[in-house]
Amino acid sequence: MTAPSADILRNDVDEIIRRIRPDFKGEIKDADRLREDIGLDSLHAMELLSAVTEKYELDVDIEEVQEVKTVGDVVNFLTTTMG
Amino acid sequence: MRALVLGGTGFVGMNVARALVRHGHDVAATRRARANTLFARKMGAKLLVADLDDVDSLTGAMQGREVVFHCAGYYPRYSLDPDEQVALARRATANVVQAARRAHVDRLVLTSSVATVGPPHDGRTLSNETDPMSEAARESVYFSVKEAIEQEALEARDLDVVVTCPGGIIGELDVKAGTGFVIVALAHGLLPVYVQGKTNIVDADDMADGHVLAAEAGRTGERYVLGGHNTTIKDLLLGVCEELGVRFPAWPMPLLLAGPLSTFDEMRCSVRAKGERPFIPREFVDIVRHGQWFDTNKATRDLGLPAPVPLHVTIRKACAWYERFRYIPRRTGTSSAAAKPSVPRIFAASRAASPSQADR
Repeated sequence: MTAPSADILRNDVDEIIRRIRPDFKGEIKDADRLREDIGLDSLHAMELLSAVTEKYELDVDIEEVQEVKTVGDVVNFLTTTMG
Repeated sequence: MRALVLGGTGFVGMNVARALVRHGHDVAATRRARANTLFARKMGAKLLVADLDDVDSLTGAMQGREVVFHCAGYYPRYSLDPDEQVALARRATANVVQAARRAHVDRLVLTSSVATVGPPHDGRTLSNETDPMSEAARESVYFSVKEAIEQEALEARDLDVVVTCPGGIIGELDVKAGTGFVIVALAHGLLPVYVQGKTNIVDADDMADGHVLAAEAGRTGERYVLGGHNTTIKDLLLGVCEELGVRFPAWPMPLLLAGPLSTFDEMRCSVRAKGERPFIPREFVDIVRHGQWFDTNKATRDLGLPAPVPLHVTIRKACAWYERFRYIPRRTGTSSAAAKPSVPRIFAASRAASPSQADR
């Protein structure tokens, strides 16, 4: 699979976050922390990471995925893994 | 065997799928469209989208499968509307039965619970599969739901159904921290009190192997208790505290107080946000209130269930899993702490690129 651009990845991440947290209406920024700023609990965060890695058919190390803390981390993780 | 596991992203389902793969079977497992599949994708089973509310999707997933393991039994989050909860459980089970008929599966193995086994009769001290649930236990939504699921499946006389009744399951892959909730809570110092009572704890691997044996050697229409160790809540917590190196919660809470508190907690959660987990789950209180010790002779004799994993080993395995996947803090002085992974390179790079984030 050709690696999509960072913008496309970022849009996908935004879309999934808004699906998981439909009551989150604010702007989603790269620096936003998944837990503290977006309000995702640990199970929600895993759901997000599951959805994005599944969409791009990534076989990932779960422990590494769990190091993700911010929205930017998620995009960086995807970019690096697919790069 | 060509097996299908319903509930392939859940605690029981993933362990059963993993055991089936380990035993060399051809395994598929169902998932909901939006389920967390991070762990399930690692089990070696093909994942298929199916929903218990959709008979066609279940039938499609079951096509060509000899044995279906129904590990997706309805779990009532709240106890506030008993009739509706029981009806939902019956409907989902009826859908599974109907799909199994349509797909002509050879056998349906249903995961139930020791909740459906009542107090011991005839002067015995241990309960077994012949002991019916007590009337008092039926007042619990959790217990009545479990009984309804069993009844719905076993009433399908034209289908080969075998029922497993595991005790409280502790082990790896407990993504939503079910019985293992106590481990996570103790590790975070969030369990100041406990309710004393009888319990039976089974290792997740033993439970999963029991399912494989039930499929291979179980008799049609029979129920098998997959029990592990008869113990008490206090002894279980002591074992967890010893493994984690944390303080034991000093205060036993009387059931008379725990019952109303759990009801209040449920109401609070159901009002605040649908799906929020009560801190004092009502079903946990009910499980302690109606807790029994179990005789597993039937499963040992008929299925060839081996001796259970020692309880302290089960606790150790579960703690290591929760620690590995960040459910509980890293312990110092343990092998797992010594093996603590460094920060993955990609995040190290990310932090270097934006130091203000790393400081937050």
